[in-house]
Amino acid sequence: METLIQGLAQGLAIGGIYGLITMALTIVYSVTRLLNFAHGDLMVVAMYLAFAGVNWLGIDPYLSILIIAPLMFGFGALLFHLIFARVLRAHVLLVVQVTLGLGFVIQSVLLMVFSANYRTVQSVLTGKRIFIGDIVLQAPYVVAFVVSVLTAVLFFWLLHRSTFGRQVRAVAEDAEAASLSGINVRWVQMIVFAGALGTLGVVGPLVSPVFIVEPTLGLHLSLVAFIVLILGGVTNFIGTFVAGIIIGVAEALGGLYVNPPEFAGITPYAIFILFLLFRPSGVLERS
Amino acid sequence: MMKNYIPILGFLLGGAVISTLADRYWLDILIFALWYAYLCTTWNIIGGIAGQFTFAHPIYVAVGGYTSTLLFNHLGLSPWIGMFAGMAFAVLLAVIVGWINYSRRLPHLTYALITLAMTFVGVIILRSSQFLGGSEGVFILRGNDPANFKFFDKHVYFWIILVAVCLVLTFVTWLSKSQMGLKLVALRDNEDAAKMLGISQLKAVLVASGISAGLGAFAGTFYAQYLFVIDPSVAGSHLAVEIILFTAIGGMGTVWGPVFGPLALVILSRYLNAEFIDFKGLGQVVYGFLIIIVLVFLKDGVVSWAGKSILRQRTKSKNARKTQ
Repeated sequence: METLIQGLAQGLAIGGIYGLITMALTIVYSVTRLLNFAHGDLMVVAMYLAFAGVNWLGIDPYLSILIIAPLMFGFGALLFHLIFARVLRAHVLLVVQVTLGLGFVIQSVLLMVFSANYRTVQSVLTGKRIFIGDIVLQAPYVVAFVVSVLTAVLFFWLLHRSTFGRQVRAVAEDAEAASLSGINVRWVQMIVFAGALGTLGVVGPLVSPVFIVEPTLGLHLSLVAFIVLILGGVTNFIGTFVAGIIIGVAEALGGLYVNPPEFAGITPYAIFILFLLFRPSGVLERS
Repeated sequence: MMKNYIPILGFLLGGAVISTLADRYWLDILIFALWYAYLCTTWNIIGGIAGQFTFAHPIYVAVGGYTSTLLFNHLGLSPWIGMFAGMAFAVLLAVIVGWINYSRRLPHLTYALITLAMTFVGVIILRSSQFLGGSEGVFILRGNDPANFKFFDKHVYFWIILVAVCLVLTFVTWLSKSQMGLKLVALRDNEDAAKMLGISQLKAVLVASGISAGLGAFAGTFYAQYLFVIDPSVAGSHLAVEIILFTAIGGMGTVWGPVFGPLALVILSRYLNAEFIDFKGLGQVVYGFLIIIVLVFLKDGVVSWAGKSILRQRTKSKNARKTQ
């Protein structure tokens, strides 16, 4: 029973993170129609920045968020300007190819700089536990979950209460009409894209103490984010968060109960296929 | 119509001449370049001509390689025959996946995601299965035994893969002019209009992906027979990404793009990696950048861009003649 609860807690934390990564992916998609297959690779960049911060400069990953998030924001603005702005009107397949190419470059550079070794990042919270009655929780997971929920709430608030949020929703609804009513669509798109990368700059260091980092992790993360996006419904942010938690919990419980344990990694994909087989109308209805 | 096939004959003869000039080192590079060209050409049938984005080819390669190798090791069946069993399995798998997605009219994105998930699941299954040799894979005893697809002379492998590329090219050239090919292109360019004309998307996609997968499986048998081992690494998503990027830089949906792309990039990256040995992976970084630049600025692969430029030149000179 205790392992079950711990597994659930761990799954909730990872699921919250998946939800948040997918929100960043979804909001970029809704204002630019770009399917970014390099999304996961960009998150891995943030994780390696946290790794470099700890090992080269001695900065704790949680503290390094203050540097990495703005850095990723700037990187996002640059990438949008150099690459993504040029393919906004291109065929969706071309965009997929370009982002796969970008992911490939990121992986190759990471491989050159950090080698293919599996890395773990130490933080002040590594090994610390939080006790709630009989339940023992790992502190890094709790922090990851709390921060991801808070960031998601901040997202909601920004989207629905601020002027910029209204502009973002207008562009997502109908870019042409938004442009006609005086919104600078290109500027909104750039800020959203940069903001998504800034979010990855928060998430990357946040999960670096609980993930094992290696250069090719990115495509796997992109795939998980897209699966969550499909399961949750493309425009439904609450659905996205719930789907993220379903996948996160499935992964954590799979790690505990699937026999042989090597097959645990299959559970999120199995859930995805089951959804497509038995609830395809639900998936379509919401997307 | 016959003139469409002349370049293929030229490619075959040119390749044969080059094989007599190349030393063992270059022969090895060229065999791998042609192996990629073969895979890209088969991928192009479903990915380029039919426009259905798939990541599943590494799985078909693994199915082909493992099937023929296990049949040979356990039952003594020659890989020349066993490869057809692998191809049949790959076709079956492709049809099942295509059916899951398109019988329910799911979007293209889910097809891409299912096939990408397949590569991750495939690697996990291959790594953890004792029968399939775990992470080490399955070995084949070295030897020189033409009846069992084993040769000491690398030239033979070169000729086999060269002929295979030419055969697939011939098929693709025929396909792109056939009624089936036109249906696939119609579905790719305007799905709704094509469906309105009564083209069955499910049937067309199943046929195209089945053919593409079956042909792709041969690359697995070839890989196993050339290296005398087949291991889980061939099933990984990185091979799918390479296939897609190589095809993209050459030109998706064209006949020659998927051949030109891998030949140019495999040779370039091998050269860079050998020249700058201290920067491991420099070749990949350089060609990754090249791919992004080509795609962003030409909006298409090199072959399709060149084709369009030639066409534009011709119409320009025609118009000039008209005005005179």
